[in-house]
Amino acid sequence: MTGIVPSLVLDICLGIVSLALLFCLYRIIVGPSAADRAVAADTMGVGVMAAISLYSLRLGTTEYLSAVLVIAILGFVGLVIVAKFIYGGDIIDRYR
Amino acid sequence: MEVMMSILIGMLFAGGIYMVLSQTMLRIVFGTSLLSHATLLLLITMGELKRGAAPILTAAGGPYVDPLPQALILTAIVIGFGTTAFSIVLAYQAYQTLGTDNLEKCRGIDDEH
Amino acid sequence: MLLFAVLAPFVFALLLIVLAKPIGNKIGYFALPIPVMVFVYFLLQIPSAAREHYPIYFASWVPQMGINLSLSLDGLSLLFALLISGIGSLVFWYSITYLDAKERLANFYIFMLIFMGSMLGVVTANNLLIIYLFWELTSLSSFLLIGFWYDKERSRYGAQKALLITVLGGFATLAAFGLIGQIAGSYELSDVIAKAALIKNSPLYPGIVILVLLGAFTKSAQYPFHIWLPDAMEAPTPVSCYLHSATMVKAGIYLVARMTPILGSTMLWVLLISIVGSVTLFWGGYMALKQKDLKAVLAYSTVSQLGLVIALFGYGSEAAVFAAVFHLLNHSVFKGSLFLVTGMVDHATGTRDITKLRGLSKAMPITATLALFGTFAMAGLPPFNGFLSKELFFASSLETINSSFALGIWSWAFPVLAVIGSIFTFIYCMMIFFRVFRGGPIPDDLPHHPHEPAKGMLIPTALLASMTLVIAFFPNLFAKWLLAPAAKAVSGSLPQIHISFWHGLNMPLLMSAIVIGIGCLLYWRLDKIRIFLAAMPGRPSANHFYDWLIPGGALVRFGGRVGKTHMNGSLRDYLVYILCFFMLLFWGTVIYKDIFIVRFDNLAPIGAFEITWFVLVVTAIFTLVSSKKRVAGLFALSAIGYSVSFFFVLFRAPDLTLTQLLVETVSLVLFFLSFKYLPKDLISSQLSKKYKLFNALISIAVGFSVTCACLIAHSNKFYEPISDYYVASSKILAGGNNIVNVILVDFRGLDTLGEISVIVIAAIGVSALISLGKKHLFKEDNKDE
Repeated sequence: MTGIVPSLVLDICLGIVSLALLFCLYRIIVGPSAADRAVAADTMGVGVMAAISLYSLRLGTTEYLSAVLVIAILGFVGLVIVAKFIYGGDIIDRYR
Repeated sequence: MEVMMSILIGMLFAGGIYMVLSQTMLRIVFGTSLLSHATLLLLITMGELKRGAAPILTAAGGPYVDPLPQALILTAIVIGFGTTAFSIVLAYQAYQTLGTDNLEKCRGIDDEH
Repeated sequence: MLLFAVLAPFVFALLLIVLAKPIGNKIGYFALPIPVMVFVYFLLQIPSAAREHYPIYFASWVPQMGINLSLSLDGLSLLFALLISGIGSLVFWYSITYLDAKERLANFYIFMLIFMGSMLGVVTANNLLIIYLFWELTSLSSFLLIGFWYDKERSRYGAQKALLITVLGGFATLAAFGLIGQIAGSYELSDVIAKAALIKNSPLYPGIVILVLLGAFTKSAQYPFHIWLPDAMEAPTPVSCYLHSATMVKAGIYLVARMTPILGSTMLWVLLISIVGSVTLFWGGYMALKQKDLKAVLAYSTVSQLGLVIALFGYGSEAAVFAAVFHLLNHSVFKGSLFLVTGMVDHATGTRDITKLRGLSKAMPITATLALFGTFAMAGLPPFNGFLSKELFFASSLETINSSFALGIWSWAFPVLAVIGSIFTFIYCMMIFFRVFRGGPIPDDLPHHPHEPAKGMLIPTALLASMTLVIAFFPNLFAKWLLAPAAKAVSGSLPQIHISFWHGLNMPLLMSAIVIGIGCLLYWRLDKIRIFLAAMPGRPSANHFYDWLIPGGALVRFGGRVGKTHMNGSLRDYLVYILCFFMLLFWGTVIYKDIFIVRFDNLAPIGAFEITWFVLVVTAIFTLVSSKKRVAGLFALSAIGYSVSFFFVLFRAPDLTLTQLLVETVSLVLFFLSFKYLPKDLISSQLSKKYKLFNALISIAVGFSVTCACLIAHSNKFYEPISDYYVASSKILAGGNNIVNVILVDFRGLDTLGEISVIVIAAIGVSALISLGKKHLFKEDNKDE
């Protein structure tokens, strides 16, 4: 739409990101340990960020950038939660 | 795109129903979650896909995609979250109380016969 | 005024509810004036009804459905209204003395008033649906009155039986009225009568006839539906007198009479009614002779006499209809007085067993005289009114031989059945009088020493019994003012019949002579006959069927068995039923309406990377379905959730993307929170291959149906989307640029409020469930065990 980056380039980039996501999914499915899956999921979050950014470039809007921001923050939170779960089986520290 | 989405929605429904029909509580919760995703996609596919810009009025004007399904979905997402939260806690409480997560074993109280 | 006369009993019933406490056991005196006043009102209407200038009332009630509160008082209605209010007055009077002050008097009089009002409603209503309304009210009040002594097992049984059978009939009547209304286009009786030919030519006519007659026969206790009437005798005797001999059971006859101008004089109608009536006449008489209880004898006798009147209406000729109306009046008079006499005997001696009672005329001479009036009138002996109507009945039954409905030799069955039925009637009438009131000294083993009853019971009975003579001596007076207008409402022409005792030597007189001759002969050997009859079976009777079906619990067992086949307590099976039903609904509609149209010409383009996302989601679905570990399943679910949010990006929905991402993350947290307390495995071990395969088939079928539904819906757009309005007016009306947000918070703000409430309720539920902790009811129950 906008002419800054040719849309062919954007399409190719999106394809690559999608492939990366597929690989991440493979890791989630196969991943021998929960930690592998957690890392793969976080990587997926980065992939989605990239995909959304590329796609909004293609559409020429800035509407989706807040979503990218949210993924960036929540992806981190999610990773921390998963890490805590793997570490202790519970995600809240309780005083016992 | 619509055909692909229809097939995807069908598969999501099939997966969700299969999960719901099994007997483990957590699988059922996952299944309902899957069903709600499927419904969201169904709603947005029912409006015309990709026939304009995001439904935010700009100086350039028209055409915009159908805003109504989006409003519906926004409501649906939030309510779906509410039900998911409730069913997780219900599964938790049922497991704590009954000691089983197998629905075939939770058949309620026998009626008088 | 007519409206007030009909509604007065209801109004006063309401009033009595309030007044019951302050009045106490004198409530009967307050209830008595109502039937009397109504009776006087109807008496005053006689001249106008005879001149066919009768009062009407009309008010629209539910005009859209053709329900109007319209009343009219033609000859037939007036005859019934007089019976209802007249005998009602006497019964109310009688009850004041009959019922103990300890009984629940308020209930009794309120039920009686409701009954009287609804009965008046049935006979005066001029709209089919209003007739039905009051019709069911009579069934209901009858139920309440039969079960008046509800602490008795037999009362409850009788009340339930009467209710079920009469309401079954009522339902059939409603169906018939619905059909008639559909054909005639109106429920107003006068409109329907005008369209009688249309109804008779309708293919639905036989169905209408059978449904109407089902209602009439159940109400009027015709064979084989008569079984409820003997059991209804558990009610207090005034109730039996009023409802179950004089008025309510005549509602069925009224219905037949009312419907005769609409449905009558066809082969089906005439034969069905005449045959059922004749059979009932015979069977009731036969059963009456087998009974020991005085009231049971009278109950079966009522069945028999009702059969007689029904048969007369069935014959359908002008003279037969007149005879029917005449006998109807006579029956109410003599049977009413006999019931009242029975009540007095019961009251005085404490028993109603015929085998125990003897020679009561010595102790109760006045009662015995009244009983003589009643029994001789019923037996058809001169100089009582029963003789006159019986003669007319015989004459009409002979007419059927020459009727237009060629039955050949079988048409003789009607007069023969009439004679046999009358012989039975004669014998049990003689039995009632000569066994109970004559026949030796009073036995010593009666529960009470018999004595003449109080005046409060004697006078109303005497008034009623003396009517047998009054009618007999002035029959033409009654004929002119009451009976002829009533008969005209049924048959359409004013009958010119002169009633007299002596018609010359003719067939009816001969038949009467046969009845009296054989009757006397048989009565001479009564004891042997009764022994013989007692050994005879009481079958075929619908009682066995009823007892098997309702109190025997066959219906309940059947229902339970049907229920258990599918309500097996498994949630998964219920889901399968629901899903299968919806698929059936969907595919049935698609195939029946032939709407399987899928067009591929209006599609959005697909980019290559979108296919990658598709593959990603599908892979995730399979991972989720087959995952054995819950964490893996959860990640797969999250992958799907995040992919959905990316689809929202593709479809230009930034707000949805944001919300979906947030919700997905919070759900993830929630799942992890709960995982500590949930089992680690996702797989239920005991699932068989077959079971899984079946589940998979069902889910694939559902998925396929959804895909098809989706495609069909996409390919067929019938209406303009309403969202254009939102797009156009978002800025103007709500001042917002983000249309989705404007819809949510402005145009559909209330929906959003509802959504928030749902979330609040879910939150309350969650917090309640968590704070419930482990201390739960089930656990405590287990400890008790």
